[in-house]
Amino acid sequence: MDVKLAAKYPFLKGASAYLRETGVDLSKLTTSVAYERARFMGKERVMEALENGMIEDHPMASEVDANNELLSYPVARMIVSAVTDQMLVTRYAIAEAKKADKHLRGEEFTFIKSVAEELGLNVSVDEDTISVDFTDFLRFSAAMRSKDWKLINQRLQDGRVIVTKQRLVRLIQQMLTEKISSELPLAVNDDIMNAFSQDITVISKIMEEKRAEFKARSMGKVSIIRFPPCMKKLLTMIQSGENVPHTGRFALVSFLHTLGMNSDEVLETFSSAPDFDESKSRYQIQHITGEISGTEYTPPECSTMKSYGICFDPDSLCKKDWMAHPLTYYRSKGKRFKPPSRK
Amino acid sequence: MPPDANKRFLMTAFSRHYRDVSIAMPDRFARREFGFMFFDRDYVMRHLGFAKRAELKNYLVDNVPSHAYYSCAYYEKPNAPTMPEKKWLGADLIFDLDADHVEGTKGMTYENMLKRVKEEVIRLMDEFLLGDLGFDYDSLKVVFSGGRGYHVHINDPRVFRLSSHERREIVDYVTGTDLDIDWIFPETSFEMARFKDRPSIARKRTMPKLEDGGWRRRMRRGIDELLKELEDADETTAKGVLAKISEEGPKEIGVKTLEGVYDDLFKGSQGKRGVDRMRDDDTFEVFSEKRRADAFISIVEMRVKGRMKGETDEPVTSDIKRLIRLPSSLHGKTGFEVIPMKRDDVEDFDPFISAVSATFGEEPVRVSCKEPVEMSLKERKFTLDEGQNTVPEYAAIYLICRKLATFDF
Repeated sequence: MDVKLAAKYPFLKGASAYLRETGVDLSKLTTSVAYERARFMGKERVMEALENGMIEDHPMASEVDANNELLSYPVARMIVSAVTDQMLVTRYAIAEAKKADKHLRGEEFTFIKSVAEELGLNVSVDEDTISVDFTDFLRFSAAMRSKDWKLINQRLQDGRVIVTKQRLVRLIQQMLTEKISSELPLAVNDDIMNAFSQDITVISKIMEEKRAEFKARSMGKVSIIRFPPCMKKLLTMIQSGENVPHTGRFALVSFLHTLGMNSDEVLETFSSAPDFDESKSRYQIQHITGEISGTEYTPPECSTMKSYGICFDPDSLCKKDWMAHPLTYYRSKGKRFKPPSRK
Repeated sequence: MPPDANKRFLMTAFSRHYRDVSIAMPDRFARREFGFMFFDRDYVMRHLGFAKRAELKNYLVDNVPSHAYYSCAYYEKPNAPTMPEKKWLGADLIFDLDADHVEGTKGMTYENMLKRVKEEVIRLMDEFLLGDLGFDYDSLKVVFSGGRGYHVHINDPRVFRLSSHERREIVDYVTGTDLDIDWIFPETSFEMARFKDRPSIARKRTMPKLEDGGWRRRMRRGIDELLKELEDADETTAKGVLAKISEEGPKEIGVKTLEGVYDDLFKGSQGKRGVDRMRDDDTFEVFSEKRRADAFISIVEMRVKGRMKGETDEPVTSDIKRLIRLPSSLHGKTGFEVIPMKRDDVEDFDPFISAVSATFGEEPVRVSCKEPVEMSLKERKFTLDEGQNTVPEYAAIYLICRKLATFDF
């Protein structure tokens, strides 16, 4: 693999082989003056992922440029690992995968296929049709919630889903996100901690701010105006003593709990029901909020609500392509909300 | 709670069954959680694990459960008390075709209900599991639940780790949920005419192709079959066919619309009728009103979708931790044995013959029927009057389990 290709796809085995062959000593990456530029670019890589969710490309006029670009990848991974923050790992993995996606789209099919296979996706080609096993398709398309990614709307024959080249690249992006997030954090030694201590402090601080901002935006005081129609309906049904199936009670209680209500508050919400049975309700609620079961349940996503038959009167916000969860509805209702990016 | 005479009678028979029968152990049974319900206790015993076959057997013989279950999931510690401690490793993919999950079974007799469910089992396996999804014949197992239906188990390493969401995608696939009609009938743009050098572009919906596979093929086949059926019938019969399909659907379509559908398809001179253009030009644009086109689509959908409901209280297939009946165990509400079988055995399987435990004998037992009963068991017809009757033991077990009679001593 030549250095420019390795720099474009630093996660491939060929890229690490290239580093080994050219005798780069990764342990010197943290200290040696020779790698100062690579260290700087590695920091940039993390900062860009964190702030913009996207890692920029740099011109690779010379081999030296390409080499630094390539080395910035292991540096970035060291920094991300040293911060030990799962949200950062996820953000970083997504940004790396997007960068690869941008490059891959311009590649020849044979190369794309080889990348897919290195990441563990078996791709068949029969004349002009590309296909993947339907279980692989399900696994790697699970994050894509628009209806054109649903299994029922695929060309499916004998257990294989026929995909276009663009879709194959999209699946690779997802696999790569999973691969990178599962690899991180790496074990970090004192050298790494010392070399990047300042950056680690800065990044941790940004993460804290982001988290606070996210929390403020998403929840705040529970506002019934922002409830999705399904939850409004379930709440009215329970409060008026209508017969609500177990799945419906479960959905509503876990929803209220995730919004930050504790068991007592949830119980109070239900207490106006004519058939209210305090001890029974308390037990059920405490089970769902994890006080008894040890598991804090989160509310079901939209497709589950539909399967249960408790998705009531979906409105225009429900019908948005990216709407997949009652909590997403709550967060986005009445806000200028940026929908999750999707291709 | 001391067991009454009915329960004592059933427990004696069940215990004999568990002593004499060889239990069909689930794969990786040592990693499964087991759960039981009893005749003489009013709680559910869960979170049990059995490392050896003999341990399970002893448990069954000693405790004589009325219902026995195992988890479709396997765990690192199946007997740990909470889910996180159990550590989920994977789960079989299971379809639960209970009468409650199949449309049109309400009000049917138990016998007919089971037949109706069986048809759906065969459709599920042939069309979807062996068909579109391409599972291996040997990876499929059908289990008569002993109660109101069948379970289909898929033992394929590719499905073990599928998440709940991914399993639901499979449920949606086989139940036809969220089918995108715009995808089925793709729109293409074409040039209608040129007017002063400006092309006028129109979009038209084309017919799905058989070779596209999946639901496009299923819908195309449905259309072809429906058109043929309508064409072969005279006008009145054909309109009746349309009305009948629409009646069974969730939303009834108005008579005028249905007649319009028929007229758009079959009126006109031979070769130029809507049906001809549909076939020859691969176009779906043969209806004069959108309402008629939509009605036609929903009629085809109703025909091809089958009767499996996507909406169930307990969608087993997507529940990756649920308990399911243990093969070779007995169902406490019928006395039937839970019987595993291969796809090819399904047609000939008759629970009223094959699910009666071989350990239940012919000795006469006196029972008291609450009302007259007509039934057939082990190829023998029983016509019982209200009140006291003497029947073979196996029939007494069935009657008492189903609460059609009480043990008379």
